[in-house]
Parts: sequence; C-alpha cells; structure tokens
Amino acid sequence: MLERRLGEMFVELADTLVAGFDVIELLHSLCERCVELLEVDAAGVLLADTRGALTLAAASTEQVRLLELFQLQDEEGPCLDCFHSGVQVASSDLGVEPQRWPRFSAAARDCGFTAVTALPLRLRDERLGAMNLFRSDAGALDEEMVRVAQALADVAAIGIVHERAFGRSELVVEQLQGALNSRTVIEQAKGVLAERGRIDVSDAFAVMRSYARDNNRLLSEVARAVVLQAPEVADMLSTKTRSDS
Amino acid sequence: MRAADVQAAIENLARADGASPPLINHVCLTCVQSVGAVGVCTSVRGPTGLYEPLCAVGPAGEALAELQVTVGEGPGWETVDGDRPVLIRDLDAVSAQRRWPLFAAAAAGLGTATVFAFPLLVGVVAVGALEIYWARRPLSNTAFADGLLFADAALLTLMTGITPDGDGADPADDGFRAGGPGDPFLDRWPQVHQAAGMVSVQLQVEPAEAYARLRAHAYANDQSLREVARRVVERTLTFSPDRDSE
Repeated sequence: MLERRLGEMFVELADTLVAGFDVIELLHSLCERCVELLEVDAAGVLLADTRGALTLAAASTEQVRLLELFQLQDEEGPCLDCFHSGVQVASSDLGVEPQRWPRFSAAARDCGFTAVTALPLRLRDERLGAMNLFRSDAGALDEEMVRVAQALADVAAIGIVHERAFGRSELVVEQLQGALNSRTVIEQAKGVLAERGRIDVSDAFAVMRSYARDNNRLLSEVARAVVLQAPEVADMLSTKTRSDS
Repeated sequence: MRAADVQAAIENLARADGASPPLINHVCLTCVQSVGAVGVCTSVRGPTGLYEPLCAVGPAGEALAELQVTVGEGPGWETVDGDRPVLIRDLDAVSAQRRWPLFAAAAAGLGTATVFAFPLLVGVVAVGALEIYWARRPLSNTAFADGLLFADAALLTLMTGITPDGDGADPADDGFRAGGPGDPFLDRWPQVHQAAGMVSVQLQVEPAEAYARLRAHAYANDQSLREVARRVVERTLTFSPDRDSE
C-alpha cells in the first residue's frame, strides 16, 4: 500500500516539472503527501528567496503555518538550524528540558506537537530551504520514513532549481531583446523625424534627445512614439524650428 | 581545456584592443582566425525579424550577413527559427539550393562552400546565431566543437553587454553594448534602420514594411542594402508609393 502510494507520489512530483509548473503548488502537495504517507501529523516548508532569506512556502495546517511563522519571527527552531547547517535536525520530545529551542518548543507544544524532524531541501551544494515534520506523540520518526521524506524533498528540490533556472533565462532573453529592440526603434525614429522635419539624421537624434530630457522621458519611449507617428512629433519639430530661428 | 583556450584567445584580443570584458567583434575575430574561416557573422532576433546582424568579420562576412537580410533566408535565419545547429557542407549542392533558393547560390558566388550555423541558446530559446563560413570543404574534425565554443562565448558576451538601466539617453549606453567603436559593420548598419524610418514617411507605411521595400529594392537592382540605405539617408534616393525615384 505504502509502496504504491509512494510511486504515485513520485509521479505526481515529477509531473510538476512539465508545463504549468508552480513551486508553491508543488510544496503544498509535498506537505500533504508527507502527512498522508508517513507517520506524521503535520508538515511545513520554508523556502529561501533569491537573497537567501527564508519565507514560509507551504504548510499542511493552519497551526503549522503559524508555527513556521513563529520560527521565522523568533529566529529559532529546527527548520532554521536545518537550513543553515544543511543537515537533518530532530527532537523526539519537545517536552524534555533543557530545550535547544525553548520558545519554539513551548509554541509547538501549545499547538499539540511533541516531536519534530527537519529535513533540508537542497540540490548538491545549493541550500533551498527546509521541511518540518511534526508529530503529536513523542518518539523519533522511523528511519525508513525519514529516508522516504528526504527522497520526496530531494525530488521537490530538483523542481525548484529547474523552475528558478528557467525563470532566470526568460529574464535574460527579455532584457537582451528589449535592449536590442530599443536600439533599432531609435534608429528608425531618427529616420522618421529626419524625413518629417526635412532635417539631418544626426539633427533628428539631437531633437529627440532634448525632447526626452525636457519632458523627463526615456529616449526609447520617445523614439517609439515617433515611429508610431504620435501627435507629439509635431511638437518636437516645432520646438526645433523655434530654437533654430 | 579547449574551452579555456578559446576564452583566453578572445580575452587576449580584447585586451590588445583595450576592451574588458570582450565585445562581440572580439569573439568573431578570434573565431575567424582560429578556425580558418572566410566569414563569421553573429545576429540576434530583432523587431524586424529573426535576423538582425550584430557583427560580421572576415573577407566575405559583411556581404554574407547583408545578403541574408536582403533575401530573408539562410543558415542564420534557420538556426534561430529551429533552435538547432544548421550544418551545410556544400552550398553548391542541389539540396542547399533547394533549401535556400536565393541565398545558397549567392553565397557560393561569394566564395564560400561550407557553413555551420549555431543557435545562441538561453535555456530553450535561441536569441541569435553565430555562423561560420569556409571557402573549401575539407574541415578539421574539431570545427563543430570549436563552433559550439565560440557560440557560447558570443552568448556570454551579449549577456554581459546588457545594461538594464541604459535607455539610450547617452549614445554610448543604449541599454546594450555589443561591439567596440570603429567596428566597420556595426558603425554602418544602423543606417539601414534610419533609412527604413525615412521611407516609412515617404510611403506612409510602418517601418517594417519600409524595411521590406528597401530590401526588395536592393535585391531587384542587385545593389548592397547598406548602399541603398546610404543613398536614402543622403536623399539621393526617395521612394514613392508608385515607384522608386532616383
């Protein structure tokens, strides 16, 4: 039974790598499946943003959501230690003194949790975040279960890294294309203005540039307006005539 | 090891030219020398289509880039369109002539026999192309591998050239830095777009259509597109809706 559900789970996680992929969706599904398949009562995931700051990404219950936020606010807890060290962190009984995370332990017990296991989300050397698994009863999570949970977390990590790399490349393409398009449009606009005002191409550039400066607008934006033959082109040319006379 | 050699050769040339990091013409010049080519062209997708030339070097380079723009077909177009390399061993072969009815024969006429075109891939998207042309067929076994390395170097150079805050207010910073000042091709090419702007007013059409008219004029009169553009900008050639008048 567990094996079959696990198989389905991996397929589900792998499916998120195709079109329409969403990281938050993936992590919610990771939390829900951990609760369903493993002997845990709740799960939550913290994810590092591009600058390395942790934020709450997913939680199986509202209680866990608050607990995770509490960790972030209070800057102590198993998820944080796990993220910073990159290795698994666990406490089999949050009621035993002395506690490694006194404030977190009290908050967790208030929510009805006694044991916690934190697993890193990582791909090779890149630390992405961490997943917390909570249990109501004291006692260490079965080793087999920990291995399964880590495997699920590893698959999720691949999905996250993949999505981030793709997002970056789209941004680069956008910037490169944007810059090159502006360059061409500026040249076309020089020609349009030169022809309409019966002036030299180099003078047309000077007209556009001073119009952009005087009106506090980007040159590329003004050039686009010129190419689209916007009404303001007449203003540009009349300013030019006035300053010449 | 080989990749490091390629990068080092490009950087040496750039340093000798007083540029750091290297610009696209340094990549193309290093490429044309190290693979024994007669032409190397780089292009990018632009607002006017898939093939906006950025740099062309070697004895046949400029003419080949210009030819591809004029006829609207060729290995550069195809590699960007398909996101994959295009390798033609014999431009004189019937298969090549069939593939590019206008380009292949004219390219062979420019003294080229073989062309390898590589897409500049960012993720799964080709943002541009690097083409290498040879005069003779027998190539070294490493030509393909070298081409890939130079395509990587070209892409890296283009990506480093992006200055996202540049808007063109400063002519030296239009949001993108590709080649060094004094590059013969880069210096003259913008005139083609200026001419398109002028012709768009003359014909009362969009710049894209004006650009097509310029290309058609160049092709029909067997003239260079840059030459046609120069005459438009100097006002010795004007277009009218009915006919082009000298």
